[in-house]
Amino acid sequence: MPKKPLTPLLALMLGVALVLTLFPIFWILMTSIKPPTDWNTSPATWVPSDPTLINFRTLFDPEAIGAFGVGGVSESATAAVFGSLLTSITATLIAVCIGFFAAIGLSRYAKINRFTPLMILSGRMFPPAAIAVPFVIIFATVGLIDTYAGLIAIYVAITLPFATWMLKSFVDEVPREVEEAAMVDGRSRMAAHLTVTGPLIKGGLFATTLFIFILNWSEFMFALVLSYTNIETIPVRLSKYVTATAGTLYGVQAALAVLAMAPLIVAGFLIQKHLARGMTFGAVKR
Amino acid sequence: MTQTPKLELVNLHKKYDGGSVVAVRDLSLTVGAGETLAILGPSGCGKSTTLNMIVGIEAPSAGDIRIDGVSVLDQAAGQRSVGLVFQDYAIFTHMTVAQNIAFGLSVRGMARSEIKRQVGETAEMLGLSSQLNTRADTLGGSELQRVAIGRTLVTKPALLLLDEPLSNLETEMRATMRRELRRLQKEIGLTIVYVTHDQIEALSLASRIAVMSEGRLRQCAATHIVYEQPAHTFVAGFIGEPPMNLVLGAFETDANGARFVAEGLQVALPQALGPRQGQGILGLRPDAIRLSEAFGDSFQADVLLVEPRGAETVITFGIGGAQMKATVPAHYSPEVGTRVNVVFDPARAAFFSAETNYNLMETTP
Amino acid sequence: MADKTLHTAALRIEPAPQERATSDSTGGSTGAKIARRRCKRFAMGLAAPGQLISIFVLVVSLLVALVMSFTLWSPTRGSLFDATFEGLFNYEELLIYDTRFLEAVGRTVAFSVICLSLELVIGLGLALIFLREFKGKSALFSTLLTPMMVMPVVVGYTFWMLFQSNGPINQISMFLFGASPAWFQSAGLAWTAVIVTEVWHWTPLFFLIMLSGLNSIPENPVRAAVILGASSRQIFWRVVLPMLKPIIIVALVIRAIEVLKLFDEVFMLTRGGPSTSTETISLYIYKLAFQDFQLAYGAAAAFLVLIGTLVMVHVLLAPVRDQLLGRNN
Repeated sequence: MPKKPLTPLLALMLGVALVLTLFPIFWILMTSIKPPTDWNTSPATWVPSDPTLINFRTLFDPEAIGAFGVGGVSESATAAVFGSLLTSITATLIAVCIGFFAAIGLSRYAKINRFTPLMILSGRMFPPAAIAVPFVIIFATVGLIDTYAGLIAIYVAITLPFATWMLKSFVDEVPREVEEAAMVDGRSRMAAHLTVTGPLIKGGLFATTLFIFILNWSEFMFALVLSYTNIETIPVRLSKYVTATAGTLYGVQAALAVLAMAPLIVAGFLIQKHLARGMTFGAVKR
Repeated sequence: MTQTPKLELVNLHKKYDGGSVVAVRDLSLTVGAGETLAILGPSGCGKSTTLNMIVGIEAPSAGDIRIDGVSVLDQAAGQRSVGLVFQDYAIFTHMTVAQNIAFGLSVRGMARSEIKRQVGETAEMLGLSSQLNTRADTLGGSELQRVAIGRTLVTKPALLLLDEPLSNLETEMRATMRRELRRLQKEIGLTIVYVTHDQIEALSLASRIAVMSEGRLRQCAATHIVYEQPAHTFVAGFIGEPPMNLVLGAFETDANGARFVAEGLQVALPQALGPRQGQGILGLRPDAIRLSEAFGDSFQADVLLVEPRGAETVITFGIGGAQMKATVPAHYSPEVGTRVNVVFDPARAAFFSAETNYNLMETTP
Repeated sequence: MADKTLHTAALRIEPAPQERATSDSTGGSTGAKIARRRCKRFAMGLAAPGQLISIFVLVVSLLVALVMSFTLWSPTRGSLFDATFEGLFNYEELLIYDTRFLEAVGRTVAFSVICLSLELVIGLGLALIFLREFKGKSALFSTLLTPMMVMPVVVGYTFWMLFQSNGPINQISMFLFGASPAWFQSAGLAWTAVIVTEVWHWTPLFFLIMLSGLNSIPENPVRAAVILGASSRQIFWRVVLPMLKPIIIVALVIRAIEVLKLFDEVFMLTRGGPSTSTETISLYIYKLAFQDFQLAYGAAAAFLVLIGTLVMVHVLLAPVRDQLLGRNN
């Protein structure tokens, strides 16, 4: 049956949805390019008449904002940006690698019992604050607290089930015969998986990687709890900006927020097709 | 005294893509009340499009569709009093059998007690009474089909359409279903239109067959006429297994009469066709050919292939430049490569124009 | 003669092991069995590191937390291993005496129900609109999905800015209603702010899943319903929606698990305030563990949440479990 076109009412509703969706993002973008004079006006300024990149510069050079007569930001965000990049990228790559092999193992060889999905899900049901506690204790004992290695280890641990399950749903779609054909051709099992299965789920690998990256990049609680002086990630820095400056350095905070958002929106855009699958543990395939 | 036909298709056209694709071209058909008609054709012939137009899912580009004499073009698909049983039955799997059958009535706001009664009657008629409260997703193929039929019958449609009714059933089920459908039709006097690509389905279910190809109606006639005197070479080649043999040749007329001549064979033309000249096509059903000892009008042929098929054997032979098939009783199996004598039954021969492909005999539509 | 019998006897011994193998439950010759065993070992080798890490993290940390929850330990009291076993003291305290905990639970559950309902309805509504044909659909689709890509901390921060007394929301509200509420000063308003934030953030996920679900519904039953005379509304409620049920439940469960743990956005928006009126369970546990250092107590609270969530998931998923597992396997 031919699809019906939009009625004016529906088009209006879509328009409203669009505006509501973009408005907060628009706001934060605008704020990030506002000069300090526009930060806290009453009524608020929507679009700055004098847009500037000073806020972004201040993130890396705390005194830059002084040029506008505002007190400098206490710390620069360079460490946070570096920290986020380091932990997110490393943890993601490790998780995807281990997850890839685990996914193959689960998909091709082992028998899944009915409880595996539940086990994985229950890992995510636990309030993170409480999981953080044992980790703090263990890490303190082992000396991993306030280190990037420790944070990476936690990120790998909590995203691994997710990565495994998501990759498994992609590996499931590749017929076994393909690998068996490669093995008949003389390749070893391991080589077969690497050279045949891997490329076949390229899209899935890519999507899973970006998805796990998004999770790691956005992670807040563990970073907050495990970082003191030596390590920092962007979400932590953002919350510190808000508390430290009593929330008055809007422009700089907004600039950091924009910086934080950017990779996510790009990544999200790239993996759109696989979002439904990722967000629901493979229960819903697009 | 002619009754108003149940269904009339009048010069139906259906174009897509601004006219570049013509799915149905100038289709005209009538179906009388209580008749069973099969619309038969290969995929892409336009039969599914025609089905959709009758039901109302698609609108024709030109032409009219009338049910009980009244045009239904301005009525939406739900208002037309036409029932459709889908090829995959399209049952509401989350509902019980009773709820499925009741659906068409309950959306019309009928009283619950009345619905229950009618559903009960319909279920009784289809042998589903014991399963009224079973969830539909636990049923097997033929039961699902009966639910689908019940679902449409209960709304008392003027016309019932079935899309490839036997294709999803296993062979044993098909015979049963065929009997069921014929019994239903006799009991209720329903007008049924089948849409199918399977000529055996058409031959066994319907009293009249409308053969379509490339969007056009090639022939619409009683089953035996379509079989014996196909109106078009397409029909000849489509119906029957193996299909009718078609041989290109020429018509000759001389003092001895008119005949059809091709390399290695000739057949006398029937009186009705009169004297004529020019190219033509001979059509002969494989079961109208006999292989035997030489006598009288027999012709020489070389056996090319022998395919045993249980009670019968299909023999492919070459005669002159053409290849033909004959269906003979199984006990007669010549060796491949031998010469045999071939006799045709001239009364069953059909002749087609080489230019238009249409049967030269005027057959009643 | 003797040689021959010996010879045949030797020959007869050979087939016997294979015969035994075929009468085995796994069947097949010994050769195949060995290959299969090698297969399994290989599989174990592949999946092992992953499984080990997962097990280590989940089980060990849960165990530590569990043990802790049965003590009254706090870091100021020395090593955990020296703490005494106090039985269900913490749990009793939480469930019977700790009104703040119970309130947090009630609040979080109510909040979750409201948010999920709104997200479902709006998401489904948008998905239904997207079933129609119009220009710029895919661009609009991508755009509408962006909110769920933004990190929770940023979302919390952004809406904190938007809800400021001199912020744009108050400007618009002044323009439309002549009122400029102080969003963070009263419980009800603070709640509304949190709900708006959460709904903005995650409705796109429901939109995505619902659209995916709607597109996967088979066409023919819908057509059959049309031909039987059902109106669009009847078709939606009686045919489409029941078919969507499994997907709706999956989406609700997945989001429910996450929303019950809600921390980041509330942390940025209200810190749980004013006073404790927007304190979610996660915030309370965070406070217990990292501000009051009552780690054991916090661990006990977390376990109660875990059990509650497990029960909820089990109950919600029950009607569709077979379908889901069938699909996943």
